[in-house]
Amino acid sequence: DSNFKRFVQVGRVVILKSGPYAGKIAVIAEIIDHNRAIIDGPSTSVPRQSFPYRHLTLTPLALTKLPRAASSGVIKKQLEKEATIEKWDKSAWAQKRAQVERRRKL
Amino acid sequence: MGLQEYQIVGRHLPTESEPNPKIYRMRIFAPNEVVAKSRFWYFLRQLKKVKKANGEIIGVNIIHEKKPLKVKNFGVWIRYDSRSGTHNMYKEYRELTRADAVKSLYQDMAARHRARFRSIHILRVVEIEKTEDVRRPYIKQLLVPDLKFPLPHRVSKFRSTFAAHRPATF
Repeated sequence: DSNFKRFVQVGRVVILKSGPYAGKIAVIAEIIDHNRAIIDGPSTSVPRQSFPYRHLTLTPLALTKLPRAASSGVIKKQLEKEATIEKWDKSAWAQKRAQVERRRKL
Repeated sequence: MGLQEYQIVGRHLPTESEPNPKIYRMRIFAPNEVVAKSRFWYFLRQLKKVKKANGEIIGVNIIHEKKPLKVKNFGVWIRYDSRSGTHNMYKEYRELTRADAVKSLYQDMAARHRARFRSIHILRVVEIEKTEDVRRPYIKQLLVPDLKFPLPHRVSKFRSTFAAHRPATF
């Protein structure tokens, strides 16, 4: 019904665009307001924090069954159950990013 | 530059007629200790017959937020001076800490009512536990279950004047 495919929602996988964890993946745990969300990346070593949407990029991946304001442990378990990080690493987008990084290091 | 919440405890200096004066405690939102102590005397002077010259501050402590990673809805009651009178107001903010909510309040009052820090008295800051108790529609809209929204037409910053392809806006 909507033309939009990527939504800011609980469970959406995002890439951080700036800050000390730039380039890492995290999951939206709770929406604070129309500018910020609480993100958490327990398996990608992103600490739980408030983050503005301006510094996030939404990905097409999302966890389907994540309750609102879930703790880091719950997010970690859901990530492992749905194998989201593996899905991300196999995606063309992630592989392109890895390739660019490898080429820069040569 | 964020605000901190301080607990300031002070009393009148002991005199022969009153060797054990009453001790008063206030919770003050201020950017640093110096401003916190100053605001303490400002408020205490309005309530009791004591001023900084004949009083002493016994303790200054920072009050830390108990759960800084839990998103809370705060209701704030204020009294502020406008250009033509003084009014009471109730505002709501959705933030992580009490100090953040008060910081947002000062920014909001400055923007919407041109009220400066000196003209605002924070009367109460209360975390609203139940969703039904939220009064303002701009906070209620964020509390609907399964909230989701897109980020339409994102304009990103361009690093060079010319580019091979038009940008993606999602």
